Amino acid sequence: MSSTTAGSISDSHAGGHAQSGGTVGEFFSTYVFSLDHKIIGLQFLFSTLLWFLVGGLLALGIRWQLAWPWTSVPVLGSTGMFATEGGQMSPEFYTTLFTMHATVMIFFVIIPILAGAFGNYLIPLMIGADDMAFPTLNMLSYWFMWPAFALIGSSFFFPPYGAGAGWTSYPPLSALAEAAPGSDHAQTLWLLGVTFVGVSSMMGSVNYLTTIIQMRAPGMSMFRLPMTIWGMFITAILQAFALPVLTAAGFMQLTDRVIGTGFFLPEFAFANNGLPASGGGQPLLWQHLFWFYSHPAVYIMILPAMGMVSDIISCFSRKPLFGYKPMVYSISGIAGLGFIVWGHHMFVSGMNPMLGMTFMVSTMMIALPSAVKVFNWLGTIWGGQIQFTTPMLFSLSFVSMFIIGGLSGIFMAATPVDIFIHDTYFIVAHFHYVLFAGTAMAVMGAIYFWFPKMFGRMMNETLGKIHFFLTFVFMNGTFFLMHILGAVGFPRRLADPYHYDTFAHLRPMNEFITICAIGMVATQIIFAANFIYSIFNGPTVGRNPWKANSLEWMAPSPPGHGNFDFQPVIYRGPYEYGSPEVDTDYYPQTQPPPGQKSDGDSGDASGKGH
Amino acid sequence: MRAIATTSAILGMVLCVGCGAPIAEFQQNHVYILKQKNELDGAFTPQQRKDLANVMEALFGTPDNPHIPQTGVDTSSLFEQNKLLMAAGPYGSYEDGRPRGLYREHCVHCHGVTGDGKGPTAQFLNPYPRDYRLGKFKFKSTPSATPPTHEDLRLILYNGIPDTAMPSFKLIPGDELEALIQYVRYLSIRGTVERELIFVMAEYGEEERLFDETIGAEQAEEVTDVVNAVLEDWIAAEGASLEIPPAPKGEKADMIAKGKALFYGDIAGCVKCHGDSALGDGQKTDYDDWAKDYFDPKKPDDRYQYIALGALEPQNIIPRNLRAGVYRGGRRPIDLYRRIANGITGTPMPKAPASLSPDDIWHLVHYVRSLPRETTSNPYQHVPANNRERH
Amino acid sequence: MGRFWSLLFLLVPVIGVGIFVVCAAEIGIEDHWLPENVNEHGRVIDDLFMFILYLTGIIFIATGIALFWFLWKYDAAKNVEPVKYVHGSHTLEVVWSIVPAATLLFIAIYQMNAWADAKMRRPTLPGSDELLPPLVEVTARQFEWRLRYAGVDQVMGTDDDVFGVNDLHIPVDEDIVIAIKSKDVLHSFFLPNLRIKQDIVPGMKQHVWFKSNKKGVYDIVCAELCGWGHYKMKGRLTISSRDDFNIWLQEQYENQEVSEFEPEGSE
Repeated sequence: MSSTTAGSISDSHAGGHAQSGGTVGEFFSTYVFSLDHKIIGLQFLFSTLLWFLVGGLLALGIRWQLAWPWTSVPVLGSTGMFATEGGQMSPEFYTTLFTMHATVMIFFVIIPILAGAFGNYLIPLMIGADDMAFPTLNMLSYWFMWPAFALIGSSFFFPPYGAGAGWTSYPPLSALAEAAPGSDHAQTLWLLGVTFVGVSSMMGSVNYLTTIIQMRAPGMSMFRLPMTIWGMFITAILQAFALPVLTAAGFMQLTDRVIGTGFFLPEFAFANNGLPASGGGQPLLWQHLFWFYSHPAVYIMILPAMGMVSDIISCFSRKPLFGYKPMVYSISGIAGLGFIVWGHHMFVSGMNPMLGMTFMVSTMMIALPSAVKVFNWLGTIWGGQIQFTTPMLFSLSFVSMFIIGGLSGIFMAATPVDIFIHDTYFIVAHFHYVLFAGTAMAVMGAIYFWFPKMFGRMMNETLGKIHFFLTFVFMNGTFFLMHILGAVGFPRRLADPYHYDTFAHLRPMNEFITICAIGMVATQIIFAANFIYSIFNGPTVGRNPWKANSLEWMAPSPPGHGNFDFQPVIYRGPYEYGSPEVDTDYYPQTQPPPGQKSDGDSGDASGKGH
Repeated sequence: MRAIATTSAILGMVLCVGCGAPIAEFQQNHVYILKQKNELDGAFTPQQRKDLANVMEALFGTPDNPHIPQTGVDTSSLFEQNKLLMAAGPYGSYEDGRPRGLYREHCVHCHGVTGDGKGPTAQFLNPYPRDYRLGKFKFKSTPSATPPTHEDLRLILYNGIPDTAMPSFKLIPGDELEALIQYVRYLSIRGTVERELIFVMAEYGEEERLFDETIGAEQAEEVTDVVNAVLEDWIAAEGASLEIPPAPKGEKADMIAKGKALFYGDIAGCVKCHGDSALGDGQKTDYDDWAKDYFDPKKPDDRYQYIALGALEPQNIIPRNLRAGVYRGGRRPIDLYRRIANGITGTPMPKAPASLSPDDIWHLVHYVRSLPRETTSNPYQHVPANNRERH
Repeated sequence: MGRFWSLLFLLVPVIGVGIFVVCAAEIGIEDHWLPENVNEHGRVIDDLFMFILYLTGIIFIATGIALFWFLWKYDAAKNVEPVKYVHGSHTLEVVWSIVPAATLLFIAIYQMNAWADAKMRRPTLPGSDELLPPLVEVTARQFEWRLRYAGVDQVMGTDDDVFGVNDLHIPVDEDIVIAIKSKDVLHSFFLPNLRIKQDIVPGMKQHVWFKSNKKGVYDIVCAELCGWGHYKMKGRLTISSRDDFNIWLQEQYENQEVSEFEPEGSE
C-alpha cells in the first residue's frame, strides 16, 4: 500500500478510519497492527500519555518523602506496602522512585512522544507523502516498545519494586548485584527494557530520515520544510548516531552483571560483603559511553519541540518565522555541538581535569545556537497579530521557560561553579525547566494544536486555558525554588536531607514545592478529561481551523489512508503569514501564486482565494 | 458542563484514596511459635495466640505507646519513659520540641518495628541486621549468656559496625542516642519475654491459657516470673563486664611471636576457622544462632515453612579475615581481648579455653593486631594505567 | 485576555528576579543562599557564581521584558497595525550571534585558572616541588566515611595511624591534602562549606586539597548515589587550631590503644 512515487493520489476517504468489513482480523490490522503512520502515531501518543501519568505519580512519591519524610505515604502506605512500619517508605524504595521516575519520563514519555507520536503523525503529512518510507518498520518500532513496557513495568511488582541505581545506572552500584537492592534482577530488566526502546528509536530514525529525504512532495525543497520537520530530521540523525553507543554500553553492563566481564568494575570490586568480581575495568568508561548517548538524548528531547513551537508561534503571530535559515542552522549547530559536550556531566567524576577544560569550552558554545533561537522567536512575535490560543500560550511559555532553563545551564557549564552545584537541586531545576517547562509544555501545546487534525474535533478552549494557567503557575512554583535549594547545595537523591545541619531548615521550602507539585499533577486531570471528552464529543471542524499554512492542514481532518485527496504541489515556505500577495492573512504552501492555475487535482476549498 | 463534572468526579475520587494511615504494630513471633509447634508439639490455638498478643500489649504497650512492665522490679536503671517516647511513635516532634520517632527515622527499615531484624531493607543486606528478640548481642564486654551493658550498646551505636550496614550514630545528639539505646533494650527485653512465654505455652494443652480473665495479665504468676527474670538479667549485666588486666610488658616482637605460636597451636584452635593463612577461610559453612533458630543445616528444605512466615534466607557466617584490619566489634586492644576471652555470642567464635591465661590472650591480641601489617597482608596491587594517580 | 497573559509572562522575570534577590540579599529570610565558605580557594567559585548570576540575570530580565512587551503591544485583540511581513534581519543575526559567542568564550577562558587550581595544582611542600602528602585518608564505603590519619610521623600505614569514622578534624590556616578512596561503589566527597566536591572512583587514587581560614563545624555530604543509604553518609568536619587538632588526634590515638578495663562497681 505504500507507493514509491511521492505524493501519489489516494482514494478519497473523508474520515480517518478505513472502511472495514467488521471482522476481528480487520480490526486488528486496522487499529492494532496498523501500518498507517497516523494510527501508529496515535498508538505512541496514547501509550506515552499513560506512562506520563505513571511517571508523574512516581514524582509525587519523591516529593512526598522530601516534604514529609518518614510519614505514611498516601495510597502506597495504606495498601499494605509499608503497613508494618506505619506506612513510611523504606530508603531503598526512595532510590527506586527517582530511578524509575526518570527512566519512565525519559524513555517512555518524552522521547517516544516527540519522535514516535508527533514525528510519526506529522512527517508524511507535512512533507506531502502518503505514508512513511517503511510502514512495516514503523509498526515494528511501536511494538518494540511493548517488551520494554513489560520488562520495566514488571519490575514494579516485587521488592524492591524497580531498579535503584539512578536512571544513569553508574557502575559499580548498578553492576554489582549486592550493591543495591534494585541491582539484582530489576537492573537487568531495566537494561533490557532500555535496549528495546533504543532499537525502537533507531528503527524510527531510519524511517524518518529516509522519508524526509526521499518522499517530499514536488516543490517541497529542504528549505521549505516547516521547522517541525527540521526538528524531527535533525533528531533522527542524533538518534541514529548516538543510540548505538548506549546499546553497546548497556550490553557491556549486562555482561558485567550476568557473565562476569569486567568492563566497568575495578579489580576485585565488591560491595555489601558480596563475592569480589575479577574486574580490571574502569567505572568511568560507563559514564563516558552513557553520556555520549545521553547528552545528544537531551537534544533529542527538545529539538522536535523547538520545531513545533516555531510553527505554532508563527501561526498565531500571523507572521513569518523570523530567521528561518538561522533557525535551521541553529538546530543543526545544537545537534552537532551536542556530540562534543558529554563530558560536562562528568566534570567532577574523576576524569582527567584537562578534559574539563575542553568540555567547558564546547558546552559554553552550545548556549549560542540556543540563544539565537530564542531571539528569533522573539523576533517572530514582534510586529505580529498575536492570537492567545491555548497552543500559542503553551508555545510562548516554552520560550519563556527555555530562557530560564538555558541560562541556568551556563552556571553548570562553568566548571568551577559546577564543583559546587553538581548533583544538587540546581541541576534538577535546570533539566526540569528544559524538559518539563520546555518540552512537555510544548507537547501539550502541540496536542491542542494538532488535535483537530488527528480527530476532526477541537479540544475545549476554556478548559485548555485553565489547564495552561494552572500548569504554568504550579510548575513554576515547583521548579523555580529548586534553583535556590541548589544554591544552598541541597543534594539530589537523598531520602532524608534534613539530617544535615546545612539543609535541615529547608524542609518548609520543600513542603511548598511538594504542594505545588501535587497541584500540578492534579491539574492534568483537566487535560485528560478535555482530551478524552473531545475525542468523542468535541465540536467538529474542517481541514484548517487554525488557518495555518503548512501542508498537513490541507488534508482532511482526520486524514484517510494516503493522507491527501489531491496531489500536493508546493510553491513556498510554510511561514507566509501576512503576505502582501494575498488578501487573507495566511498563504498555504499548496496554494498557487495569483495568476497561476494549480497543478493536479484539488478538492480542498479552504485557503483558496481565487 | 459534562467535562467539568467528570473532572471533578475524578479529582474527588483521587483525593479520597489514601486517607487513613496504617498504624505500626508489633508482629508476633510466628517463626518461633511454629518452631515450638514442630519441636515440642505445642498446640498454639488461635485463643492462645490472642492471649499472648494481649499479654504482650498489656506488658509492653505498642510501637506508638510503649511502656515498661510493672511487675515489681525497679527498672529505673534500665529505662526512662520520656526517652522511650522519644524513640517510639511516628517520626515528628512533640509539642515541647522533643523529637519523636527516632527509631523510625534511623532504625526501623533494617531492624523492623518489632526489632526482629526484618525491616524492608534487611533482605538485601549481608550480614543481616540484628534480631534483638533473642537477647543475644555479638560485641559486648559481658560473658556469653549475659546481656550487654549500657556502654556496650552505646559503643555499637556510636561507632557503628565496620564492614556491615550498621552505621555510626556518633553525630546525633547525646540524648537522642540515649533514647535509641533504651529503645533497643526495650525491644530486646520484649522479644525475649515473648520467646520465653512461647516456650512456656508450648507445654500447654489446647485448653490451657496463659492467664485467666479474672486476673490481669500482669498478675499471672507465670508471666511475671518470666518478665522479672529477664529484667533482672539485664539489670545485673551492668556489673558483669569482664575485667581485663593490663597487657604484659615486653618486647613487641616477642609477644607477637608467642601469640603466633598460640594461634597455630591446638589449645586455641584458631586456624580451624580462621584458616592457616588467617584469611578466614578455615571453614565457611557454619551459621549463626539467629539463623539456627529456625534453620537446621542438616535439613535445609525445612526452612521454607519459616521463610513463608517472614524468616530470611539463612546466610553463612564467615570467620573474620584477620589480615584485612577490619574489626567489627572495635579495634581497641580491649575489644579484641573481649572477643577472644568471651567469644562472640551467637556465633561459632568460642570463648577462650580456661587453660589460656590473660597474658596468653594478650599475646594473641598482639599477634592479631600485627597481622594486617605483614607483607602477606599487603600484596603488590597492579594499578592499571587508567587508574593512575591524577594529582 | 491578551493583557492578562502578557502580564502573566511579565511575572516570570519579576518574581524570578525577586526570589533571587530576596534570598541572596537575605531580605527577611536567612540561610537560603550559598552556605558560608571557609576555604581560601573557594572564594573564586562564589565570585564566578555571582558573575554568571548577574550576567544571566540581565539577559533574563531583558528577554522577559521583551517577551512581555511584544505580547502586550501586538495582541491581535488590541493591535490595529498590519503584521510586519519580514523574514529576518541579517544584521541582527550577526550581532546576536557574535556578542553571545564572545561573552561565552570570555567566561570559558576566564575561569580556566580557577579550575586548574581546584583540580590540577596540588599544593607542594613549602619551598620545594614535592607534593604535599595527605594528612588523612578518607575511605568512603556504603554508608560511612572511614578515616585514617597518617599520625605524628605523617606516614600512612604505620603504627601511629589513627582510625576513625565520620568525624573528620582538620587544622585551620594550613594547606591540607586529603586522599580519598572508595571501598565499594562510587561516592562523592562533598564539603559544602569548602566548595569541594570530588567523585570517588573505586580503584583510583584521588586527592582533594584546600586551605581553610575559619574554625567551625561543618557537614560532609556524599554527592554521588551510592545505594539506599546515600542519605545516611553524613560526616562532620571540625576545623580547629593546629594545637587543638594535635590534642584531639592524641586523644583519639590513646582511646584507640586502651589496654585495660575495670568494670564499674567491681568488688
